[in-house]
Amino acid sequence: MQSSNKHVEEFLQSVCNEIKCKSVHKSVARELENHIEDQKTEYVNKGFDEETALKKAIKEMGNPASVGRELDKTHRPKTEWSILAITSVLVILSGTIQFLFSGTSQDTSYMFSHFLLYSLIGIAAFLIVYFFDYTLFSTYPKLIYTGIFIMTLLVFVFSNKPYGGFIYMYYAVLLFIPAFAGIVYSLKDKGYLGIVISGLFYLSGAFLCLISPSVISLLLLTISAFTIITTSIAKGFFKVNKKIGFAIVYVPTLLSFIILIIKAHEYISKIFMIYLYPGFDPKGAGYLYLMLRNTVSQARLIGSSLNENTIIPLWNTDFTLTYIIARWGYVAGIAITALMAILIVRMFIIVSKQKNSYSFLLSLSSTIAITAQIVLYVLSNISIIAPIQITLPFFSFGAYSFITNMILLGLLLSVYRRSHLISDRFKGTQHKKPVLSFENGKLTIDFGLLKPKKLQ
Amino acid sequence: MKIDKSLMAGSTTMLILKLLDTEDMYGYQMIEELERRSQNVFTLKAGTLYPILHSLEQGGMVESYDRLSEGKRTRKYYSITNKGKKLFKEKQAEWDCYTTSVNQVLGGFGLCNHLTSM
Repeated sequence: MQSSNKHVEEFLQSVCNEIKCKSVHKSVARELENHIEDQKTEYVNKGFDEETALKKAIKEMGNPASVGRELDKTHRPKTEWSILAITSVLVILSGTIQFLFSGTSQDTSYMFSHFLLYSLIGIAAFLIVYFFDYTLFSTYPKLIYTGIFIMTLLVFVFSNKPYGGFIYMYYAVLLFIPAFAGIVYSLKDKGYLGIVISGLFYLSGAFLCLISPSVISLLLLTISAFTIITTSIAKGFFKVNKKIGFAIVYVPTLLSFIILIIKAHEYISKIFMIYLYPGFDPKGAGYLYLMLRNTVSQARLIGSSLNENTIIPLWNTDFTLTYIIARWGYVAGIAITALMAILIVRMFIIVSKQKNSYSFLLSLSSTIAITAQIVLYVLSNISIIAPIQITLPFFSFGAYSFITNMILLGLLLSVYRRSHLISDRFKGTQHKKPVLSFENGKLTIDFGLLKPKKLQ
Repeated sequence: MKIDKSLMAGSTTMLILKLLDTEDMYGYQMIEELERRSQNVFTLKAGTLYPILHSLEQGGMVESYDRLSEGKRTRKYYSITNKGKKLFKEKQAEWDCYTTSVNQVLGGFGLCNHLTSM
């Protein structure tokens, strides 16, 4: 609130004192200040001197405290109860399963106590992100992205590479995705170069996935980054010709894809063989797939179809859904999947309601990251796609997965909580300069990279 | 003639929606326009207007955007949505029936038959 006048400022201050939600203070104060100015001009035109006009204009506004109280009623943060309820049900179900099996064998004895510990940490992480004003993230998007990059790299350097690659990459990617949304937002209005720079940031994350190496992380990052960038181009965030914009993204992608297929055709055709002929290589790559497929096809509607031949590896992390279907029947599996489906729909409804481009991109990124995991997990568990190492958000056993997914959910609901409070204030204030501009015989190249973007 | 405030309270939302149905406006403009159209009978206070506008916006009845208006000030403009237009029609029908009924009681000359749908 930077008002030229003390009286106006006093008035606005006492209005805002009544409004608990701080994030609306600025916009409310600005609107009311404009109103007072208009009213003042009107009185000046009627022949009053400046000071009297202003005093009359302020008086006209009414009692500041009661105006503030009225506004406070309409600006209460919103809570998405259905998503909170579904997540709670999933976490409780997951806990119940860990409880039932904790201690049934030696390698499961720690499960429930671990679950209790990490679920508390996850809920705490959720709450911190949920109540934190996410718009602050928009100020230093590149710093945040680079920070995650360096931390991941440090983990790589200082930990021994386990067999099968760094599992941490998966969780790092879940954080890279919302950070990438921040990057895209910061490159808003930057034209074609904005798209290219976004692409470079994506590639730096993808590079980590490759040296890790973690195919599933690369897949998650790619699906999410492409959804974010495609939506941004389609929504006109970059202010470019959409067709050329899509071409910039998809032509190099298709080319690299073709090169990949040519270079690794043997490996890829092997994967395809497993799909088409599950009997192919039954002792090697096809083993897990066959095992899961048999388990699913033998499952009953309700009740257990487990027998001494059933083997479900990693049943409490990567193939929990397969296990549930085998242990309690299709109905139980469908129930869990339906809950997940409702969760996905509710998340997308939040995204669709965002008016502000930053809230939109951030909520989209969290939603895509959670949704991609759920979809890939379900498809892999019911043997529609080859088995992959992935976790079911809020459900699979595992501290890192649970905590990172809770952070994503926290971000999404934090956006929802404030969605009606932060509307698009960018139209007038946005850094509108194009990257290349030619003015007074001077060619200016402005990437806008040095300026932190401030919301409001 | 000044009228009793409570008479106006029920119809303020409808009047605001009506104004926005003609064009996009910012808050002060709405108050001015309302005074002009009602020949100074309706004076809406800012303290009443903005809470209504903000809750209409949250309900998706109106949308807001910033635009540079004359005088070089960025103003928050409101525009009505389809949902808002529907609400306006409902409110208007409700209002018509109400006034007709009041008139019937008072003078016996009002007719509500064209509004039986409400």
